[in-house]
Amino acid sequence: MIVFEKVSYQYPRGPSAIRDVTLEIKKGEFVGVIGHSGAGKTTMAKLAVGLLKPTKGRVLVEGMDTAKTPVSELARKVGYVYQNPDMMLFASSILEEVSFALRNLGYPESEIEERVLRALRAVDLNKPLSASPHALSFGEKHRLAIACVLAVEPDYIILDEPTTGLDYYRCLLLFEVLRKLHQAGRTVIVITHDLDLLARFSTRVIVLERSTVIGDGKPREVLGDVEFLSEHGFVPTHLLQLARRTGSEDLTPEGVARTVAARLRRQASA
Amino acid sequence: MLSGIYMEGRSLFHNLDPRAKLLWALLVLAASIAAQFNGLKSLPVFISTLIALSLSGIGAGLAALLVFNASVFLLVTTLVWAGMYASQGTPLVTIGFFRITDVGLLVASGKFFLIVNPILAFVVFFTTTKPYHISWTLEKMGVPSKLAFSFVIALSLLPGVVRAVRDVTDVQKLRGLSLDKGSLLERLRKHVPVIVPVISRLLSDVWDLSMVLASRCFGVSRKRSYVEEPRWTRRDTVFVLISAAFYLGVVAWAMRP
Amino acid sequence: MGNAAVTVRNLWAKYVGSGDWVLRGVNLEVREGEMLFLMGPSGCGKSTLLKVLAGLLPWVIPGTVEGEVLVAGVDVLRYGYKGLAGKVGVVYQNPEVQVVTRSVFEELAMAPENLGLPKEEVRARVESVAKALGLEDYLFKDPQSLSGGEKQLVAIASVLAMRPRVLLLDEPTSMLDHLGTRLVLDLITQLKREYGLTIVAAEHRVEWAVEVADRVAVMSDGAVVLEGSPSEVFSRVEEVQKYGVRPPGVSEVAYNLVRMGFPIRIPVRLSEMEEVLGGG
Repeated sequence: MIVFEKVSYQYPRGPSAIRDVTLEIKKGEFVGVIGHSGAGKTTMAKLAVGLLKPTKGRVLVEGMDTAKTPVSELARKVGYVYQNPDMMLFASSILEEVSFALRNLGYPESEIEERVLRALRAVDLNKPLSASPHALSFGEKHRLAIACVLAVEPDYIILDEPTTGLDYYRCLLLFEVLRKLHQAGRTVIVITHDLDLLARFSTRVIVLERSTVIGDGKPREVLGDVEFLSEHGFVPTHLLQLARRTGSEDLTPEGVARTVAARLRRQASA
Repeated sequence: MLSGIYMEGRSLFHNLDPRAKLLWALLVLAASIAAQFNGLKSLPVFISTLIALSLSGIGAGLAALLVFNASVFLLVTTLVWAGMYASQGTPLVTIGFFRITDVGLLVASGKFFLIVNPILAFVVFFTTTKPYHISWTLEKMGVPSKLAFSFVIALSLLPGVVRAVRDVTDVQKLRGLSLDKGSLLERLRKHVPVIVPVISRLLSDVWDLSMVLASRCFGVSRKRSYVEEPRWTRRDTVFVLISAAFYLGVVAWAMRP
Repeated sequence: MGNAAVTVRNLWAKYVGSGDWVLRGVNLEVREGEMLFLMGPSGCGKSTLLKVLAGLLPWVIPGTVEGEVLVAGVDVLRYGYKGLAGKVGVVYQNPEVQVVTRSVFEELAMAPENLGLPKEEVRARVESVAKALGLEDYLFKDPQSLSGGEKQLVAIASVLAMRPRVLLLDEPTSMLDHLGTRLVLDLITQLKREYGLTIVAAEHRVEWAVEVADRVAVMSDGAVVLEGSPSEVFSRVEEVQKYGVRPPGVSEVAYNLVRMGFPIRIPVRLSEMEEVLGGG
């Protein structure tokens, strides 16, 4: 579990980014985090991996207090995939890139290549180990960045706006990879603006606004509540609005279609 | 502060015409060059830059910071130059075979001020002059329009680089990178995972920026217009005259055998 | 809407160092005052097409371009962005790179100053554009301190200060949060309605496209493969999906219904879906 106990964080010369947040993320969840810029999403992610230490309260990762544990220790439990893969890729070969964390954290040489191959398989990246990361397409670089984090095999993985720069079908591919990871037992936490993707893939949605949590629940409760979303400045997609309109609990196009089909059949027989 | 060196303010220096300030900084440089062999004669110049720092609203804090950081440099300079002039003048301090003479000390301090004075003067110039006005000044001096405005542009890339360094370092730390252990050579090598992405980011920003600028007609007209042109006032004339008198006076004094 | 503001005939383009052509025989026409959306998956060429229209490829970005391109009456391949001299404004994806100066006033004044316009004219334009976009209170703020959406607003304003006839948008909201997106989309919609600008937008936001676009052109592998009004294009759900474009949510739902055996017309707008549901 990742636990936030009455956590507040204040930037050294700035406003508070997080105020009095208490929540638990259990193993096996697929959590979506939504919020406007400055609401505190990235701050929360950084607190969870120990890059930032709380100014009040504490953050526990599998019982370890992030304020007292070195960042590299925490990295074995929680992985953080940055928004822009170009900000982390530097090596001359895929092998070197993916094994970077493993070497730094002292994994034995005998394990390294196997872990690298496992990580690459998990993200569906079928390129030779000697290939240069720079030759990859943007979508492939994203998956490579995830592989770098996966090599350590953390139980929790946080992705910060992974859909930026990807078109819809590549986003779907990425989320399918995340689903695979989720099904294999990992906890996936995604910060994103894309409501339809969360509706389809997540098991829980947390809404942040102005440093506090204003919503936390199942996707159909949070994303299905179109009025709530609009009130707080979000733009509910037409699909979500239609789901609300028709009372569909399933927020995917197939699910909404089934609800509408049932209604049309009832109307026809009436 | 690093998001552009310019700091908003209303000090005396902020209100001076940028041409007057540039002239002043160059006078400081000239006087420091003239007095480079005699720290005693360069001292007034140093004091004048400290006064300028406080008159720019930057204050003693930053000045103290700069001087403190310079103290290591001072020590090194003193030893090097004093050593070179160890055979001239009367010895003041003798440690083993190392001798510091009065001449040596004067030269050492002169060389120290040669570097520090102009740096402080230009710090004052850059922190009190908007990049926009710096470009204007350069153009007035005959620098081609496009090149002069490039200055503003280069500065706009700075915040991006600073942010990139911070973010990339964070991400690589999460991958277990520790930058503070190991020998000097090892530490340099360890910085590669930070340097490569930052440079990659810088190049991509430069690329994007060149497109944005072209879209804003950069270089379309040979003579760029400036809406906010500084106006030379009587205060500027007075300032320049006083500065000229003072610094040229120092030059004359320093040149006397 | 009369004359063609943008004419593209048999356009081929590629970047230097790359063997493959990114644009392969693009043919397109955009009439004055029209709003055209370019849609397609990453790599289809929409961004490259915008760069050619803006006179940036091959003038700023090295590459090879062949064909005929006329924008706002200017032969862009021959004269480049300098020949356009402010007739075409471009807004890019990343708000961070589009704010260059330390005050919004300087930012808005930049393009007119670059054009060498007289001081009074520059000042007048800055004031009128700030007024039109509601940025008067922002004039002396540091653009670096603004939110992403506000930065894009400033970017759009700086472009409008050139009084362009054609506006090119390269996914202007893809890096913004919901608040910023709303801000920018509302502004662009307003610009279209009030000023009759010709707008060519590379966009993913289908649901916005159906509300404001006059025409949509779907691109795939460097050429235009589907073209027409939003209703014409997006109701062809399977084709659109095949080309890597996501159809509107309501169209996807309707398509599923059709496959379940309900013979309904495929709507593209939420309001049209209401009709299908029988208003019940």
